[in-house]
Amino acid sequence: MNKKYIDIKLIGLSLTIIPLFFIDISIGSSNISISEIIQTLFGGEEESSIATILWLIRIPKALVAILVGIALSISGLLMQALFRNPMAGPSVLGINSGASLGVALVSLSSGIGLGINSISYLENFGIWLTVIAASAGAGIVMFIILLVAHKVNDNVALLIVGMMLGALTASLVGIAQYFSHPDQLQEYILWTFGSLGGIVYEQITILTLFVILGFIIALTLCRSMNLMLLGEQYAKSMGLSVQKYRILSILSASLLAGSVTGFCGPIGFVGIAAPHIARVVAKSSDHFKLLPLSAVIGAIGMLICDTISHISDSGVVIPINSITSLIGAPIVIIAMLKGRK
Amino acid sequence: MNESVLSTQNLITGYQDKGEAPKVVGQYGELHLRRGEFNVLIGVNGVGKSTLLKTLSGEIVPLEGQVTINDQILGALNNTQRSLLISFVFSNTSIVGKLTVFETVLMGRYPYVNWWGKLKDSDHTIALDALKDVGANHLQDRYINTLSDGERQKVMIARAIAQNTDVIFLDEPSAHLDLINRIEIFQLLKSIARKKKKAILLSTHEIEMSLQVADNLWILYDDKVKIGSPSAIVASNFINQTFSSPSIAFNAKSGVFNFCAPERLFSFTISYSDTVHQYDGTIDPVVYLEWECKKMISEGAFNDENPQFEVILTLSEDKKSLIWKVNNNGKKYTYDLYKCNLFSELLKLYQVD
Repeated sequence: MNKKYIDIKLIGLSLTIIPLFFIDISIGSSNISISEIIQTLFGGEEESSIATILWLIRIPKALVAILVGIALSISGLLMQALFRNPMAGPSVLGINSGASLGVALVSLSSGIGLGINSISYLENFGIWLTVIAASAGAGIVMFIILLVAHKVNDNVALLIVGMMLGALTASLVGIAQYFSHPDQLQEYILWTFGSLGGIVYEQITILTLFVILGFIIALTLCRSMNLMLLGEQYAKSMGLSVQKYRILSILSASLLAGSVTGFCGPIGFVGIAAPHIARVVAKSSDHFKLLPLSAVIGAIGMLICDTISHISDSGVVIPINSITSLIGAPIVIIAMLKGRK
Repeated sequence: MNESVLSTQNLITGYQDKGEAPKVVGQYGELHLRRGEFNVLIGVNGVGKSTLLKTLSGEIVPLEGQVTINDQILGALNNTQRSLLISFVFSNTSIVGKLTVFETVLMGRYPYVNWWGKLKDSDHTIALDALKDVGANHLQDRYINTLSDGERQKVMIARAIAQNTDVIFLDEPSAHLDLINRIEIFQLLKSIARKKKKAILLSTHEIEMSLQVADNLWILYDDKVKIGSPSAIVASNFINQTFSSPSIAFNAKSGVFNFCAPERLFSFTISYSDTVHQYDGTIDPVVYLEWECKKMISEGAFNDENPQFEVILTLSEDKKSLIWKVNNNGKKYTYDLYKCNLFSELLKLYQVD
């Protein structure tokens, strides 16, 4: 809303992504020093084991962390603006549960007699299958929500439909779990822990395209989101086409959250926490400021969470979804208490 | 006569649900909103004020006829085009999040910017001028949710001014405000209409205040509208006919609504003796008796030439207090002015009879 969209806070926070990125790729089961990293990345050594670890495991994982952070936080910001509720996140539309239903159907399919034995037998194809199943699940739920948004002119109704779809898919997943084999169940549960690893560069390219597309749509919605701060009546009187805004918001949020959930599984709380922190940092609800800030803060948050997840040198990786919730929940509480003052 | 900005032809407002017969709310025919005039829309609850405002602003499609603003037919315009012609102020503002006053007023410029929302320096100047117009420029850096209701409504009006439309609609903007803020808002709108040549239509339940400030009253009754200057409308006894109820009566001379009791109980007359002044110079006995009388009538007493009770306000014999002297068909009673409720004492005597 102000003349300068880029402020010092945004630049400062953006710059911290670089050291955090290097810390993230240096820490792990075998610690790699920064000088080794620089030597490997810029010195052209390609054959060493360090290069393999960096290029094939840690760098893609860190890149995915950044993309996930950007995507989920923007998606959360969009939903909070649409529902005028700071507790809304990407999950309110039932996109997460749609994705989990897709994955559940694939990984637990033999249990409910759909024929595919188990994804683990399918090797590389298995990863793609999970991604496709999750994206399809998220996409179907998103399509239903868009249909409802088109028919019903009421955000509360939309929220309820999202929650009901979530409950519906959760019960279907429950039935599938009940009838499936313990091994398959374990596979599914592993997916629900979320994971930033195991994603190859071509998948990162696809994820990046989705994030860019979602981000561009979100950029065009900043003005509308600001208007919605005054409520729907005022927003309309100042020229907002509410219907168009809602459809574009849902589309953008679904593309962002759906693609992330498809590739990485459910990752909670980033979408709620990052916009909250952005509001505290910006001391404003102007979405021209909040959108880039949320994206940067989301990326920072995910890099930190990823670093924590593999900080132990025993090679154990703590599930990313547990860490984001563990850190995100207190942050939301603190941000809320600060915001009340 | 001022130039007409908004006009309607054969206007019938109402609602139509799919597959059902249309529900007519009002048949208003030809209406005009003129530049520089402050119009006030009044009418009892449910008579169709909001429906009319929504129809004139293009949010509801009229059942018949059309609304024209500056020679453009409203029905043919989209939201953005309409927002260049009409701005709105509502009674409720529920703002989520942290917005400063200036940021809020600046939003009035959104209809003029492209999708990316790039505002020019001129937009900032216009917003600042709008804040000055409502006398709220000292608030510009405050957060909206820290303002009082009255300040917030002024800011919302500034935002409407920044939107720079020929027509401003206000739907009960003073509903949550105290008396002083209500008066200020009305006077402010009147001066904005004059100075900025806006056509303003405001809906309210503040009849007494509207009579003093409005250029024109639009009174909705049944499914019709009566439009006229306050003087013309009061003089034609129209207010008493429209807002008639057994419990209220409009006094055309004072411009005030008086309460009436549901039943008539006993008759009385009331007067005072000059000794009152010796005790208490701060009481104006004329005013005191007028209000006591008004209150008695509102509770069920009535004036009559042959009253049951003759009441005189006077000084007590020891000159230490003011008392009511009551004569009830020859029986005399006295009551301390500050220690009794005259109506309930008389009611007791009346019920003993």
